[in-house]
Parts: sequence; C-alpha cells; structure tokens
Amino acid sequence: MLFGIYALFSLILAVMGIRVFENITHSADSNNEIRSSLFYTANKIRSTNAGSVYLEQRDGIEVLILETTFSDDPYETLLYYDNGAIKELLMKKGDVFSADMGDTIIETGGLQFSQTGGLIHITITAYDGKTYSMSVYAQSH
Amino acid sequence: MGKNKGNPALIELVIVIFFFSISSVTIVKLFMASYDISEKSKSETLAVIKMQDIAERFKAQPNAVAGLLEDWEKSDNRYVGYFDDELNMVSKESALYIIEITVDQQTMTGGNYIRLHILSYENTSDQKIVLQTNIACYVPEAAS
Repeated sequence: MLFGIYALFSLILAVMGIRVFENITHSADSNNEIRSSLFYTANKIRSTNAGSVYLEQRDGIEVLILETTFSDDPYETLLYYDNGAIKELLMKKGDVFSADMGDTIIETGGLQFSQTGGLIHITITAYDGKTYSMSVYAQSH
Repeated sequence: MGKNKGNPALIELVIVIFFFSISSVTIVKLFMASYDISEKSKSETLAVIKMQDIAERFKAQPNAVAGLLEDWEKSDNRYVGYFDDELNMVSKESALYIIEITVDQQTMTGGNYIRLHILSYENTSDQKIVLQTNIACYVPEAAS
C-alpha cells in the first residue's frame, strides 16, 4: 500500500516536473526568438548611416537594404526572411542576389518590414503564431 | 522483544517517503520560482520592445506626441494604454499590461524640452511594475 502511494506520487511529481520544465523551455525559447530577431534587426538599422535604409523586392523576397561603404565602394547588407529563418547577406552593390546565399541569423515563424517616412516597422511572427512589432527611426542614432 | 521491533523494510520505506516529501516540496518550489523568472523575463522583453517602439516614434516626431498616442486614454498630460501579450492595444478588462506615459514639456529660449516618463506594469490587483524609463528630446524652435 505504502509502496503504491510512493510510486504514484513519484509519477505525479515526474509528470508535473516535465510539464513545468517544458513550459519554462518554451517560454525561454520564445523570449529568445522575439528578443534576438527584433533587437538584432533594430540594431542593424541603427548602426547604418541615415538615409541609406530602404525596402525592396529582390528575387521575389521583401528585403531590407542597409547601404554601407568600404574603401569608397558601395556595399549592401540585406536582411530578409527565407526558409524559416531571418537571413543576412553582405555583398557589393549591383551583385546578383540569391536568397540562399545569406547567413542564418535566427530561425523564426516570419518577418515583415514596412516603412513610413523615416520609420522602419519590423514585425516578427514567432513559432507559436504570435506577432510582435517594433519601429526604428532610421535617423535616430 | 521481537514483538516491539517493526518491519525494517517498512521503516525504511517510511524514511524514504519522508525524505521524498521534503525533496518534492523543494523541487516544486524551485520549478515555480524558475517559471516565475522565465515569465518575468518575457514581460520585461515585451516592455522593452514597446518602450523602444514608443521612443523611436517619439524621436521621429517629437512635436506630435498627441498624434502618436491618439488611441490612448488621456487625462491632462498623462496617457494610458492597455496591451495584450502580443502588445496589441486592447480594452482595460482584457489587458495583461498597462503602459502609462507622462509628458512633461518645458519651454526654453531656443525651443522645447520634451520628456516622457514611461511606466509599464501588470494589469493585476498589485499592479507589479515591469519596467520604467525616461525619454527626453530637445526640439529647437525652428523645428517646432
């Protein structure tokens, strides 16, 4: 009888522990996904020169273009969503873009950009389907 | 003498259950604490996202605070907004977070000094503060 109760409570505790642990892991993952994707993109925009941030369709994908100059040559950092991940690609202006060339920054459910004047609006869709938005003033640094 | 002795296996089991109970309580408390920390971290992330969003919009148009917060509840120089767990504006009853913004404007010789105090707290009876910050911007008269 006692052993039965002992076994039952052990099982209940184990199941409870697994559920709580799953919740904590899910919450931490979701938090990391939101924070990394939004803040990485926002900081990229902030670190780029004013007036050189814009949106464009390339290869059928909406791409945020951040223009920079290295040794007087114009380069572009492209941020876009492809194959379930936010990707980044640095290339010389005028080079042919291919989405699979980019480096994966973080895997997430979706990424969208829009622009109103100097404000770039970033919207990410997390894996749980929830969406989070943030605006960055492209000339605020 | 033998009658007074309990079954050693039973005594061992009782001791095991006793320690098991103590460790169970500790583990459950740890799990709860860990879950609370995780939720707090998420709340703070959401508050930072919303505050950065407000700050960036404010920097873009420092003279148009009223327009920026037109959907918010307004009383004097205080604005109150209610948000769900995706930071969408919702009614007070269904809100998880409340953000209060107090606008303080000082007229100076060459322009206006506008300061926002942003306070984010949970929509619970104890109104636990998640995050608070100040944003300030000097707007020259020529830009006003």
